Amino acid sequence: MNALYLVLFVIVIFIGAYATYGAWLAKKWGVDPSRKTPAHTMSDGVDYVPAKSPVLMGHHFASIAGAGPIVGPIAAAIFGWIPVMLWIIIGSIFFGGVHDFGSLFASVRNEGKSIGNVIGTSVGKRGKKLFAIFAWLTLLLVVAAFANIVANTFVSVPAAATTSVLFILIALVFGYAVYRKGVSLSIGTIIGIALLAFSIWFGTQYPLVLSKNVWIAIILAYIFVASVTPVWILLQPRDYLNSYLLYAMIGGAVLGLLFYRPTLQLPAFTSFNVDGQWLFPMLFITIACGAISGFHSLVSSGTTSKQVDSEKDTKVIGYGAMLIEGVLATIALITAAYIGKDKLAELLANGGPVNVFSEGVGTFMTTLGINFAVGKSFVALAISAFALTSLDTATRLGRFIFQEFFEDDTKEKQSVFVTNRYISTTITVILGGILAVMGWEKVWPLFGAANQLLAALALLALAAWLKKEGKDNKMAIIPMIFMFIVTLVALVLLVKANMDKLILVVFAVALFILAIVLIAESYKVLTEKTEESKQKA
Amino acid sequence: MKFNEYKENLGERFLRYFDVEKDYQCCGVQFDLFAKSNTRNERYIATKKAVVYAFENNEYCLVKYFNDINNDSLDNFSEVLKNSIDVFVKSNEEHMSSVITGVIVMDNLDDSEIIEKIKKYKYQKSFTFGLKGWVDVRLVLVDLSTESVISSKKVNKVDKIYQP
Repeated sequence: MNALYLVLFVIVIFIGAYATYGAWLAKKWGVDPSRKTPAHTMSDGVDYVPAKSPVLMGHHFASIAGAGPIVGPIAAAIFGWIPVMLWIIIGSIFFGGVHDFGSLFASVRNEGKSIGNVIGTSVGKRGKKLFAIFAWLTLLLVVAAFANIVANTFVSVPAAATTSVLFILIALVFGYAVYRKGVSLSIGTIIGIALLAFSIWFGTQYPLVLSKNVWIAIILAYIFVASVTPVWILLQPRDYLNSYLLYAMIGGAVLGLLFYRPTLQLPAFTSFNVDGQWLFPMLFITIACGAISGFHSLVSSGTTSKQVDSEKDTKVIGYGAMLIEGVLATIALITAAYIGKDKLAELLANGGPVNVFSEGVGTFMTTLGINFAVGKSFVALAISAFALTSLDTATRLGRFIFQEFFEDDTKEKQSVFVTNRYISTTITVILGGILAVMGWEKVWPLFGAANQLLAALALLALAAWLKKEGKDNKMAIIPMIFMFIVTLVALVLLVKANMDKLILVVFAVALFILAIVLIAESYKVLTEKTEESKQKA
Repeated sequence: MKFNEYKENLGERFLRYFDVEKDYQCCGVQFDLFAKSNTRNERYIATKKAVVYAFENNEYCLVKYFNDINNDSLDNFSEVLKNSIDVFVKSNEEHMSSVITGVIVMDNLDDSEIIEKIKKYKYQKSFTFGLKGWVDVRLVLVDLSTESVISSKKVNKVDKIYQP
C-alpha cells in the first residue's frame, strides 16, 4: 500500500470527524460564540490577551507537538501498523480531541484556570503536595527518557554527535557575537546557519564514537550546566538556531514524502504479545501525543484558554490541533512502516525511534537531491537538539518544583533545598541519571503511564465540571475510565516485569499510589461539590 | 531649537517605553531628564506559572545640558556615568544586560577632539565573568544648532531618537 494514500485517508477521516463529532461536542457543551471569553472580561495585557485564531492555533500546536508524536508511534510499530493507525485515529477523535477541546473549553468557562489549579484548589493543600510529587517524578522520567533518546541517537548516528557538539559551540559564539559584540541578528543568523550546515557536513567526515553510558554521563553534565547558567549564554541562542533546524526538517520530511511515495512493508499486525509486551495496555501508553496526552491539558488550560478570542475558536484550536498532531503521528509511523519488520527491529535496537525516523526522513530527502548520510545526520541532529531542549526544560522545572515543595512560608529561614539551586539541580539530575541508565525501553512506558494518568485526571475534572453544569458528560467519562484502566494496569505490569530493578519498582508503585490517592480525593471533593450545588438548587 | 523644547520632545518620545523623570539627582549631579526601562523575558511551559527561565534587560538614559565642554568635563561626566552603575545595576542571576547612556546636549560644539573622543568611547563591565550579566556605558552628544547627533559606536542604531 502506498503510504501517501494512508496519510490522505487519515486526513479525510479527520476532516469528517471535525465536521461531525467536533460539531456535536460543541453543541452538547453549549459553545456560545456570543459569550465573552476571559481574554476579554479579564484582559490584563499580560496573561489574558485575545489572540486571533490562526495565531493562537500556532502557539497551541507548537506547545503540544514535541518529540512525543514522533517517538511513540515508531516505538509502538512493533505491534504492526494497523493497531498503531487505529489508535491514532480513534484516540485523536474520541480521546485526545475530547480531552484537549474539553480542557480548553472548561478552562475558558472557569476564568481561564488551569486543570492543575482546579485539582489543587478542589483537593486542598495535601492534594497540591501530592500533585507536586507526581509532577516531580514525571519530570525525572522525562530527564531519563530524553537522556536515553539523545544518547541512543549519538551512538547510532555518530555524525550527529559531532554536529551536536559543534552546534553548542556555534550557539555560544552566536550568543556572544549578537549580545556582547553587537553583531546584527540577521548577519549573525546567516553566519550561524552557514556554520550549522558546515558542521553537519563535518560530522559526516569526523563522526564522534563513544559508548552509550559515556554519552549519558556527558548529557547529564551538559544539562546540569545548561540548567544553572544564565540562559542568554547558551539556551537562548541555541533555541533560536534550533527553530531553523526544525522548519528545515519539517519541510524536508513533507516534500521528501510527497516525492518518494513510500510503500508500506511492515506487517499490518504482528502479535498481541511482542517480546513479553502486551498490546493492551502498552500500545495506549506508548503512543501518547499522537492520540491522547495529559500534557496537552496543561497547555490547553494554561496559556491557550487565556487568549481565546471567541468560544467558537475552542473547537478549531482544541479539537483541530489534536487532529493535526494525529496526522504528524501518522507521518512518523510511515517512517517505520515503509521498512520491513527485521530492519525496523534492527534500527530500533541500534538507536531507538529517532534512528528509525532519521533513516526514514533521510531516505525520503534523497529525492530532493540530498545525500543520505547528510540527510540522516541532519534529522538526527534536529531531533536530538529538540530533545536536549526538553531535557534542560524538565531539569529546570524539576528543580523549581523540588524547591517549592520544601518552601515553608511560615519559617523565616528556608531549608538548603530551597535556597541552594545547585543542590536541588544535582538531586534532580542524579536521580534522572540513575533512571536513565536503566534504558529507554524501561523508562518510556513509565513516563507514558505518568503522562496518561494526567490525561485521565484531566478527563475526571472535565466530567465533574460538565455534570455540575448539568450537561451530558459521557463523552468524557468513557475515555476517562479507559485511560485509568490502561495506566493502572500498565503500572502493575511494569512492576511485575521489573521486580529486580528496585528504583523502577519504587517509581511505578509511587505513581500508582499517588494516582489512587489523587483519584479518590479529587473524585470525592468534586462529587461533593456537585451534591452541594444540587442542594442549593 | 531651544534646549527646553528639545527636552520636552525627547521626554515625549521616551514615554512610550520608558519611565521619565525631570531634574533627577544621581551621584551628586543634577540631570535635566532621566529615563529608565526594564524588559523582562520569561520562558514558560504550559502555564505561565511554570517559568523555565527569565532574564532582564535594562536601559537608563541620563540627559544633561552643558554650556561648554572640554576634555576634563567630559572625563568627569564619564566617571559619573560609571559610578551610576552601582546605583542602577542589581546584578543577579536574572540580570542579563544594562545600558547607561549619558546624553550631553549643547547649543553649539565645534571641537573635533571631543567629537572623536565621543565617537570612540567604549566602556563595558561584566559581573562574575558575565554570568550575572554586563553593563554598557555609552555617550551621545546632541548639537542643537546643527541639529546633529554624535554618538559612541553602540548607540548608532538608536541615535535617531536623540535627533533634535
